[in-house]
Amino acid sequence: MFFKNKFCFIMMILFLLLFKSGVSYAALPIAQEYQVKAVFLYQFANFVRWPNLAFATSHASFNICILGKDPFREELDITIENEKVEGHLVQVQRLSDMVNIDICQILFISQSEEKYLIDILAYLQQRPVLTVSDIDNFVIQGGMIQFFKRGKRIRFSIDPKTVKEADLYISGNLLRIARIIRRPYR
Amino acid sequence: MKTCKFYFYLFLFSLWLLSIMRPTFATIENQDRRDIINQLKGLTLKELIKVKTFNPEAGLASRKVQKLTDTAAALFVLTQEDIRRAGITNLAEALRMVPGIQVARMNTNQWAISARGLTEHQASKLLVMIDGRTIYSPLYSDVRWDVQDLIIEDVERIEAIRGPGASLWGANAVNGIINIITKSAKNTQGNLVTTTLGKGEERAIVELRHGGQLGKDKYYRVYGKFYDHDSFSDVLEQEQQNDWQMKRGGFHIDWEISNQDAFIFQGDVYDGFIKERHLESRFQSVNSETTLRGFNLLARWQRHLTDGDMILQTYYDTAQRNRYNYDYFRGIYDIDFQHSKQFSEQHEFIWGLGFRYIHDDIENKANTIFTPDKRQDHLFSAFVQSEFMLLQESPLSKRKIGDLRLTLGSKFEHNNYTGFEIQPTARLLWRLSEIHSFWGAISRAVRTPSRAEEDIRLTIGSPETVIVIQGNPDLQSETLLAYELGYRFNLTNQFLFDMSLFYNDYNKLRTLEMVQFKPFPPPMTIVNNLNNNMSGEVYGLELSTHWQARKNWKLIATYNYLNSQLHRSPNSSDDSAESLEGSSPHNQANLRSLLSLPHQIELDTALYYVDNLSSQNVSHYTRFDVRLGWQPTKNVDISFGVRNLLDKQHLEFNAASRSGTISEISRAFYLQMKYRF
Repeated sequence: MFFKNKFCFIMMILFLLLFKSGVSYAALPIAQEYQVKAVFLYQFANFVRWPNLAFATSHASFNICILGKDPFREELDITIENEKVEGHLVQVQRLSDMVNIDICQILFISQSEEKYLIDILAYLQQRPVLTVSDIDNFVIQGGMIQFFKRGKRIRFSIDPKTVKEADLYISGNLLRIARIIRRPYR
Repeated sequence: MKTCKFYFYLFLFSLWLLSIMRPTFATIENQDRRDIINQLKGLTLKELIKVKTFNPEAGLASRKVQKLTDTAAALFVLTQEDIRRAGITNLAEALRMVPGIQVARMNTNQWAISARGLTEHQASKLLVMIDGRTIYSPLYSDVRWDVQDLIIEDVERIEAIRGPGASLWGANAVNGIINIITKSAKNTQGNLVTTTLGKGEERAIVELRHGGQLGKDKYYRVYGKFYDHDSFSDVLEQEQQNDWQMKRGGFHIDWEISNQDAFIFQGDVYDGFIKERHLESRFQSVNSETTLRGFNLLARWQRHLTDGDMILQTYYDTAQRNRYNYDYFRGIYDIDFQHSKQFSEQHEFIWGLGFRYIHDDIENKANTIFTPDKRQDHLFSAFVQSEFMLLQESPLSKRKIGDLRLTLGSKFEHNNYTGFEIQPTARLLWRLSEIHSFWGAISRAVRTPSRAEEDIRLTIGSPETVIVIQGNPDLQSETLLAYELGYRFNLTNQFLFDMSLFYNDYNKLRTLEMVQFKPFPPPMTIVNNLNNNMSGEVYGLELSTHWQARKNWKLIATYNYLNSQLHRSPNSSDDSAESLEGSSPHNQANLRSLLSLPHQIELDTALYYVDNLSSQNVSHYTRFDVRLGWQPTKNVDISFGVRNLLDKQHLEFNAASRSGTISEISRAFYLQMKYRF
């Protein structure tokens, strides 16, 4: 009996102490996972250079496409509102198939498309489209940028060679914070 | 107990004090997502990778959705793939695949299922939920597996946690929690027809399901199911009368009202019977038929906030069981609210409130008398849980120290049987790297007395002897103090190894004490009363490995060791209580192989080993299952399987003391056809 009460007591004290100490506000905001991913997706546009032929005309919009089930909801639309990348107005396109894939500069492949991933990547091979996804082993299978979680933080891995083969130029600043993956054989 | 109550009030008071001291709480709530995104856009890339995120997907079934590698508990998940490829047609049977869970089938419709030992024919310390609705029965505080069923293909996953979860789920989540989670209606669109024909176990199962859309972001499904089970035989190969037949139907509606709000409405109804054999006197058993009927309705509203989640859920669940010795009806009304909130980068907080109202009506017949015959019980509960990041590795640092996370929480509840119960937990998770993580936990849990344990009077008699078993209104809760340690090794997703060690310290376990012995005048009368005169320790080890050996070949191996030591107090007269030690196997192992072959053929095998049960006179057995699946077109699945290929029949649990008969589990064949259109 004595032990039990003591046990309760200690638990409470611990709880209260930690409750107090745990609440210190950091300068960085806390955000939903797909809010951070949406901002990353937009930022990639600023750290990657596309060849001119990637745009149909010089007035064409810069398209960030989502293939499959959209996990961003409105977060991506809010992020790119009124934003421009090198003079091109940024727009979000939601695609359910590959028909218009050539309009995309950045293509986010949703987890819903995991089954068809090999075919999608095979089709996009060496096209100037920056492929991004959070599917496991995306980069190993031939994707360019893969989000992964480290604890509660979002990080990403890049295979620079896949990007280079598609005639895209990726900034050193982006590579520096990425986890670099080199596919062994292709 | 009194001092604990004092701490409880003190605690509530302090919480209130803390909340008024920090008006900043409210301001975060109002922060617009637009502001957050603009803030994020203002960060450099280097800062952006340091931003902590949270996932607004919370489920009531697990209070919080967490990745396996982030959980400081012994969690094992069975996916739809696992269930399908094991040829499972019954929820209880699926649990055989989980390490640390003891599944022993007594006859066609009864199982003794427990986690981490103390298995008995009405195993009382395992909490089971289907889509957030608890199916733990208040009458005997066990799970009536004969009325739990679904369309097996609609099960998305089964999460099995060994060890106490009482700090979130309250009394009775002592040895483990099983969450059965069904698919969303959006994922079950179209029509499905399944027919299973079998010999040995199930005779015929027919499942029909239709899924459709009611409007934008509003999906539904309806289903119907017929289930018919064969009788088993005893050791002399004499057929036992225990057929089992169920009809059921149900619906599920998912409505995504907006980006923030989601609403779920679902329900089931069932009707069926089981054939039972029961002891009429000490030496004579007779056949009888029990009818089973019930329905449930559940509604859940979930709202995503910018920094957390809110869930409000309510359900009503009834069950009716008309047996030879009593007619039992009960209804459970339950309402549950929970709110999770990310206070700061380091601190996540979840709290909740719950209320449950149970009413029943028992018509006493024959030799079982419940007094009172109608009863209403109220259960009030609250829980709090905080998760603190004590140490955090900077994403760019070279030194690898990992993340250290502490979880503290407790459930506080008040019930009509034992009054206040407090069930705290402390859990620590150390994620050394993406590959290695360690965890440890200390928790307290209680198992509150059941309706029968308090109110029953059971008379078993012959002309010479009468044995009376009486409930005890002063019965206390069985208590557990559990110590757990775990380690996980996660090498990409190809190889996962999981180990857990536990030491469970039980107190006030239930015993049956002789309180009266009257040899004269005949008949000789012995009166037994329930009491709490036993303590004990159970400790063990659980291992599991998932290995994707080839792209088309997956291997899953599990093993667990368990040892129980029970001690009844010197003043106890219950000399059979300690035999519970020998009702759970010391060793259990399971090896499954899932192999996909060309031409859409699947070859799946499973090997189960269960050690002997010394006090049950059950010898060890090895069960071997094979399944061959073929998908000739996209719409059609055909599978053929054999369970228990190696032996004709074997005993898993000795239910003789209950029914006077012993059923053995026989070899079974099944052929299943699925058609989707």
